[in-house]
Amino acid sequence: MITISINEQKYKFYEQITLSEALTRYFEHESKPTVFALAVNQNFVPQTQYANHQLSSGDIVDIFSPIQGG
Amino acid sequence: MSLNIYGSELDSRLLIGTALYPSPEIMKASVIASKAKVVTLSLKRQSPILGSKQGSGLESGQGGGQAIWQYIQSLASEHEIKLLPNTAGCKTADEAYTLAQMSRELFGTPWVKLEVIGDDYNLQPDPIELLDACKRLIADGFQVLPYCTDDLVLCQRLYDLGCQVIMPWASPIGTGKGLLNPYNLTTIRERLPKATLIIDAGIGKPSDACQALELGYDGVLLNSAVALASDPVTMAQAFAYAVESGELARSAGLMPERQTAQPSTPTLDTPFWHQTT
Repeated sequence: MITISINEQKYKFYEQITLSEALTRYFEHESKPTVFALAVNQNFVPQTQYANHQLSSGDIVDIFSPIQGG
Repeated sequence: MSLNIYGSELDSRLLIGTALYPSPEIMKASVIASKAKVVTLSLKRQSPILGSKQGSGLESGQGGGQAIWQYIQSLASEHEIKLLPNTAGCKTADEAYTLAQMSRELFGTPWVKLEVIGDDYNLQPDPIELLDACKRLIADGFQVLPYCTDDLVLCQRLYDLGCQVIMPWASPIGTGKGLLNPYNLTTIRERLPKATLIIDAGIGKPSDACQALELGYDGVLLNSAVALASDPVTMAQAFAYAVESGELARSAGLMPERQTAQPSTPTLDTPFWHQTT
């Protein structure tokens, strides 16, 4: 079993999981923004790599979406 | 009469932020009234509470999210306004670099308003981290618009790294104190004649924006001065006029300052002139 943190919430998975699979599971419970980008362990992961990016236990996934700014 | 940002010619010298408005509708109307062709925006980690499907009022209000993004998108598509994502909240070069990479993918622009804050009290940029972040971003193909202090040597270093646009502050973010050090800002203008210089932060009144343009600055970036006005839409219009006025004044050539009075009415042959000397 591995534990992944996604937006500060801990999720347990019984098997090795890709970033793409983890996101699918995450968005079953959380609202999916129309657009988003993300970082794993504070490193940017491009959308094109979600399917191939294998997550490890303890990884921290942060999902970002647009907001107003100055 | 246009502002050049990395080869893009824009027909307004005002850049405007999208935060702090009373509502998204007022934000959109204010941006249109300002005639700005660039708006700033940001990225934020989705809140676990706000992001929950069970939550109500999802991502509304100042938290931003879907609603504000839709308004910004409509501004971009209907009014040919360009997006300038910032790296607000970053305190290290690493954080800023990661956030900039996400912004580029999400907003499809190489532009980034680089903010790396070194002090929480006055939100003063950290020059060391700023230069480090700049170096990495430029090497990665970004077109960087660094927010910095009015330090000449820092601005020179940023320019030497390849920043074609440099954005020194007028005064700390959100203070509305205007141009605290016109001498420093003038020196930067004189020493970096080829750089696109934009005053970013601290503008409080339209006259501040006008002064920046009179000093020879190419543009002004502001947010609070419009968003926190009693009537943001009218204030946005006032800033549009101020920037235009400052630019006209600059191009017309300001008269030289004098230490002593000089009569504007000729005194020769006026009645009693000989009695007043």
